[in-house]
Amino acid sequence: MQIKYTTLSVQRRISAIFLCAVFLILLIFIRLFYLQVLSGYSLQSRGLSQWLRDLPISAKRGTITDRNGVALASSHTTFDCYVRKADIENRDAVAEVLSSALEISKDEILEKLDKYNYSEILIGKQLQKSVVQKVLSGYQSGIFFTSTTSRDYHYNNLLCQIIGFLSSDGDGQSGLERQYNSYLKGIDGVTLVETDIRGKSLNSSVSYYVDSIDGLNLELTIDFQIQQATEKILAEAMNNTGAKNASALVMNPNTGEIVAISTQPSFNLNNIDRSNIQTLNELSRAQVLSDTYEPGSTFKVIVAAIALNEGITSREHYYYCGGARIINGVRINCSRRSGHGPQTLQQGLNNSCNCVFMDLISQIGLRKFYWYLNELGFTSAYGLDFPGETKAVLMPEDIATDADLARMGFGQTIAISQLELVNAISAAINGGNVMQPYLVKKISTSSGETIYSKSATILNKVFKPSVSKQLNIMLEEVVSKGGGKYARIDGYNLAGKTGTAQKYQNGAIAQGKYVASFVGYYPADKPEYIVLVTVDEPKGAYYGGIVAAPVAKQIFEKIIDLRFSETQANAEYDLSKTEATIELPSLIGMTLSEAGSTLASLKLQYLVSGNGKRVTQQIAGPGSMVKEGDIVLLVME
Amino acid sequence: MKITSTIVTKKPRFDYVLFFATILLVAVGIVLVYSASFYSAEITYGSKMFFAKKQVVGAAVGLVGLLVMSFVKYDHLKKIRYVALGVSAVLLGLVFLPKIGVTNYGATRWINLGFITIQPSEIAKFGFVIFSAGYLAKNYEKVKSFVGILPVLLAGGIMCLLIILEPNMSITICMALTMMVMLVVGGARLKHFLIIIVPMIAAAVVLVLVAPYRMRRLMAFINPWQSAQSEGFQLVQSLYAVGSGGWFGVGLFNSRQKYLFLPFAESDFIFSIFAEECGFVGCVLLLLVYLVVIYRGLKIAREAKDRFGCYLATGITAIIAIQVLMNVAVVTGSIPPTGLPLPFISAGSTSLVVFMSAVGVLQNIRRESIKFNQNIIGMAT
Repeated sequence: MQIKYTTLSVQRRISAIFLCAVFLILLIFIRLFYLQVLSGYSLQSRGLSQWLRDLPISAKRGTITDRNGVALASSHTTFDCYVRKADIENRDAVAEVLSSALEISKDEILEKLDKYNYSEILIGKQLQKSVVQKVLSGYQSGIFFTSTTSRDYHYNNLLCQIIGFLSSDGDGQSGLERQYNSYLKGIDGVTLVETDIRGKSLNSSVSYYVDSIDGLNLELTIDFQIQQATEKILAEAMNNTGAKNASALVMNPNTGEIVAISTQPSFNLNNIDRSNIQTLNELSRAQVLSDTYEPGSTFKVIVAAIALNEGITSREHYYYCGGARIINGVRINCSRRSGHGPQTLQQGLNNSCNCVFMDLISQIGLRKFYWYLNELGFTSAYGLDFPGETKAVLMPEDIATDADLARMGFGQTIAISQLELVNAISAAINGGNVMQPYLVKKISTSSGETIYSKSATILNKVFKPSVSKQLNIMLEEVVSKGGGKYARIDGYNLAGKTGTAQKYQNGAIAQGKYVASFVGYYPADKPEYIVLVTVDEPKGAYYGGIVAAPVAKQIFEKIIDLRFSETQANAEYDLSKTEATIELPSLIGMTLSEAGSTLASLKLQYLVSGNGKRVTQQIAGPGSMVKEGDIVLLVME
Repeated sequence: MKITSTIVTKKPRFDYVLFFATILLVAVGIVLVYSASFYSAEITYGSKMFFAKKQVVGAAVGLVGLLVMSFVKYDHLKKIRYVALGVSAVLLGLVFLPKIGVTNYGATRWINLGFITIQPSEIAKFGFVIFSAGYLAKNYEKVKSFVGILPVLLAGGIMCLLIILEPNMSITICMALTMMVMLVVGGARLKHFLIIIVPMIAAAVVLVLVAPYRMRRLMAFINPWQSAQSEGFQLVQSLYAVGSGGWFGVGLFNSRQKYLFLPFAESDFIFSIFAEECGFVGCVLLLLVYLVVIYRGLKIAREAKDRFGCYLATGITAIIAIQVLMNVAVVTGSIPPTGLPLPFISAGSTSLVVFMSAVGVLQNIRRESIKFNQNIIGMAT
């Protein structure tokens, strides 16, 4: 028997203490079982959110092209590759994977790692995504990337108000960039990185990688070549006229496609000046679509079309102009105070006689006229795929007096957008259909799959086809013989109408402020292009026929050159003849060098036949009219 | 008689089970301190091994302490019981002296000896145990009266007061519980406990009401998710770690919570990291090892040759048991959070050396009692 100094009672008390400890440990086992086995999963999921940090991989924004695939705006993302020395686990493997992906020698990389003592060492700059993916496929810890995305507008100012620009965080802020932002921007991908509490990635970090989906590409109805030419011509017109603004809209009257659209002055999309928001807003507003103006005489086309459709007039219908009409005691002048005398509707259009159209619109009546405006879509937006499309501002029907109506006959006391004017005239000349104007033809994925394709949409049928036929004849004559003669291109059947509108400011006529405009289309018998040119507040001459018609002419010339030169070879032959402005001198008897320098000074080319010393014969002959760049055959016998 | 004597003589004087259980815990501690601290240590001190190295040094010194104390007769401790109490009280008092006391996290719990920073309360617990064991053994007949246990209550009360002023709620509780165990084993009467417990609970309530942070901590304990970013942060982070462990853990060294998410991952909350890495099964096994230490400690107490040895062994074991239970209870959200290191495992060399030396004292109590029995038997034969 063991001998103890401790009593039985003490031993019992110690046992009790031990049992107490066992009991408490059992309670802790239960608690641990509850936490780890029963709630473990949910606790771990809660923890997960703090263990991972997501690094966005920005999606590449879609490209915007013209109708022929010319890129107008595109984005590119480049990556810079760094090595964080402290994170390297296997130095050799890091150098190996970078060497093969970046095509730098392994020694060079190792040398860099030795040489610099920064925590992060730049290994490669402006790398393409494919390179990054190659590195990631053999990923070693210690390597990481930063990405930079930039938007390039390849033609700086071109189509600036329509394309629009991005906000500093990369979302479309104006124009199509804004309208189609959700299509263009794509879906960002994500890299999940394991980090410590401060967000620093861990050495042994496992990355979960979800690739981004590139944005969709937009194909516009815009024809880059016509757009570029139009902008150049408008800029020159601004220079020549000292106008405040000059705008042009080129559309296909049969489909509603906007082929070219511009307002000058423009701004450089690659260099947005955000310091002056007001100026930027002013410059970036697509005035053609978003502003209203009093169109003036170009509106007479619509009045004529309504009257023709109603059968209350015809080309040969006679009217009398005494220089003014007095309506309800209000005297409203014609453009010619002395009056045009008796004239047909055709002559009225040729002369842009206000009296004829005051008569016509009075006959139509306010109610019917407004009904037509409604049918033509003036009172509601067309649903153009562009932010900020505006609609006409009309006097309320119950307030408009007969005098107001009479003024509307020649396009005053009515404010419409340039788009509305062109689209309504398109309906009048295309056989009667109001088309829905549009800017985006097609939306496709980065791999080229088309996901949306827009075709011509007829919103309404308003005019009889016969109206178009009559108008085409009359408006062709306006250009060939009437007020639109400065738009005339000999040999081409252009049709059109001029307009000179007085500007109103604060409800009163603004003295000396005009909007000179010309609307025309080609070919007159089967319109394919309709062009509106407006010159806002020109200095000096302000008549549409003088200021705007020649600008429109230049645009038509370019369109014809670009889009009709092959199909209409005969017309081109005529053109070469009519444009011949150089009278060919006699070169007979000259030496080759004398003849050569003479022709060079006239900007003519030549071919030589035979090997004599002097020119014995020339084709074309002396006195012939030739044009720049023509070839003269020199016969040297 | 003869048969018994052969059994007794075969019994080794050194408790190998206790020794290896202790060494196992210390070894686990070193690995775990490294695992829990290498990331934060590198950031804060520039070396992954900062805490682990200190822990190894602490373990080495602790081992020396353990072996030395195994051979130093514990009777000497009885003689110095007043010295132990006095030194403890002085050390606790020094904390409040400017320049010597070190303040961290809003509490002044450390004193700076120039070459090392020690936490006096770690020493004071054992000082109190030595004193009370000595007193109770000497006056075992008086303990039936309330006056008889009064010196123990007074000494314990002063200790508690000094520690709560630091403030250090957790060691105060630990000290109070140790005092209770000493009184239980010393044979105090049950009705006297009621006289003690009532004012203790009242004091606890007052303490909670006096310091608003304690109230907030209490609320954070009741629903840590409500203040997961402030008061409840540490507990929530601890629960993430413990919960993530599941049955078998995420694997040694694979804890996610040690990446600065869990504050004090290498010290007071090291059990959370262990739970995360080794899972429920690991936790059960580790706590069973502690239970072995507690069992051996109490067995030594039961078999001690005298009352002092018995009470001393019980007190030392009680400190170990109380700290283990409280620590694990805190990190599992079972009781309101207080900062208390896990014996043998948490980073901290003072604590490690003291606990290992205390195990040495246990070894000596066994050694002396076996020696004593052998001598008796020897005399008998």
